[in-house]
Amino acid sequence: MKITKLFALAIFLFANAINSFSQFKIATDANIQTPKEYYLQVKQFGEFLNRFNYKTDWKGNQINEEFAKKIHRNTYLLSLINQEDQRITNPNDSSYRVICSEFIKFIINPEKPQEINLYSGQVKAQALVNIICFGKAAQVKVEMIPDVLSDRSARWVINGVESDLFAQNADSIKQRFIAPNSHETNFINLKRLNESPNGIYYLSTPVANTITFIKGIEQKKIQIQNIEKVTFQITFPGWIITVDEFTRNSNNSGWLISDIKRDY
Amino acid sequence: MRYLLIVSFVGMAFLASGQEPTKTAASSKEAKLVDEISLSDSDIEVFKEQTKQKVEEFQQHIVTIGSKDQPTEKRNMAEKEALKLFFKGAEMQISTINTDGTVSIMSRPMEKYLARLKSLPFTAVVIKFYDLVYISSFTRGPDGRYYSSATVIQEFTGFSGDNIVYKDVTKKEIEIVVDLVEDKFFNEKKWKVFLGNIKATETRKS
Repeated sequence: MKITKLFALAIFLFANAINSFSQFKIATDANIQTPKEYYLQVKQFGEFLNRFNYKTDWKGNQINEEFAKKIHRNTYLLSLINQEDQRITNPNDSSYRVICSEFIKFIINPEKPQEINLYSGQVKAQALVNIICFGKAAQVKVEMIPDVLSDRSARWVINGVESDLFAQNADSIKQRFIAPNSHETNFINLKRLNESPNGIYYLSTPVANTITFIKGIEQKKIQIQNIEKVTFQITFPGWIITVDEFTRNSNNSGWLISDIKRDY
Repeated sequence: MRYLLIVSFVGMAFLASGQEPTKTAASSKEAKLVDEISLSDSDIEVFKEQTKQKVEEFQQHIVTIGSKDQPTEKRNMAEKEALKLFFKGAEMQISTINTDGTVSIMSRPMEKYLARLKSLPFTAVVIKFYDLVYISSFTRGPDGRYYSSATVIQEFTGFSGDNIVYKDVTKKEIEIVVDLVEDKFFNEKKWKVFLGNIKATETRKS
């Protein structure tokens, strides 16, 4: 009974929040009035961050007291989760709903509320890139991370490349390697690189893939065509979330949380 | 049933949190970092206003270029003026979601995109923009320029005679670059807003 009452209260609050939104006055000029769904849609990843951090409202303005009274941060965070996820709509399994609920609780913990800072190492982006490799269409996943330089300017840098295209030759791996006990002998084996015609085999797979990718582009063997999709991964102490872009005509669209996991 | 589940989920979040709005604050170290990378609020407001003007200028040019009832000379002029708003080499990448859920992507240099807009196979074209222009924060790049992105939403209608034969709504994310350029007339340097690459996503088609 108590829970039913609380659910009813939650429904009222959510409906009230949407109604309040519809009362926003939209400026009119030569352009046509924007349908409500486009205000609610999370149009940019930066907008996702601002909403997640409870900094800006649906119109991109700073959150004021009036907004905060109508829409609490937990409700606002909820609107940032993909609500068409079958794990949320599945009536027989509530495990993902419980995880979502616990995550929100963790984020809004009054003693230690959590935020996302693009430049604190929390955020990684993965771009699915369509390429032409030796004349054939292929795809690679390029991991990008934000990087802050000493002059306090910022940029995105490639952190790794993932693809089956650059699989290393098994026979070469058997010949070119640093022996497993080399750490006991000051890695003297590193000198083998001096004689090696191809040092790529001495690198970890992500680093080797990245160098092969960059070299392939330099040598015109690989050409980037376009970027098909971008996904963001954001880490918190004990949690990891994935953010994807959902292109659809609904109030719950744009950049939304597509997955929440515990990060042990 | 689905509605009930979503509502239950709202309830769960509500239960999890209690009723009070939560105060959020970045740690002072993080706030300092963001302050150093980004601009002050007053600078942002000036840049945002300039960006809005540039984006609106671009929108007006798009409308003129697409309007078949406008004189060719005027449309050509709009095409030239629109190109001046962009950094050299800017591209338009258009994503279309197919009925089978796959995504088709097409990239075109801005020159080609604008030229193509002039010669679409419709007897009349109406392009309208929604009044929403969302502009993100400005961040300094290693070259000293400031970077941001603006979102605009365009409604396109193609006619054959009096009949609508094509209609879509496209969301466009426009890269914004604020550069310090020399004004030779006043012999001083001024911040100027340029447009860069555009990511266009077709959101609705009929």
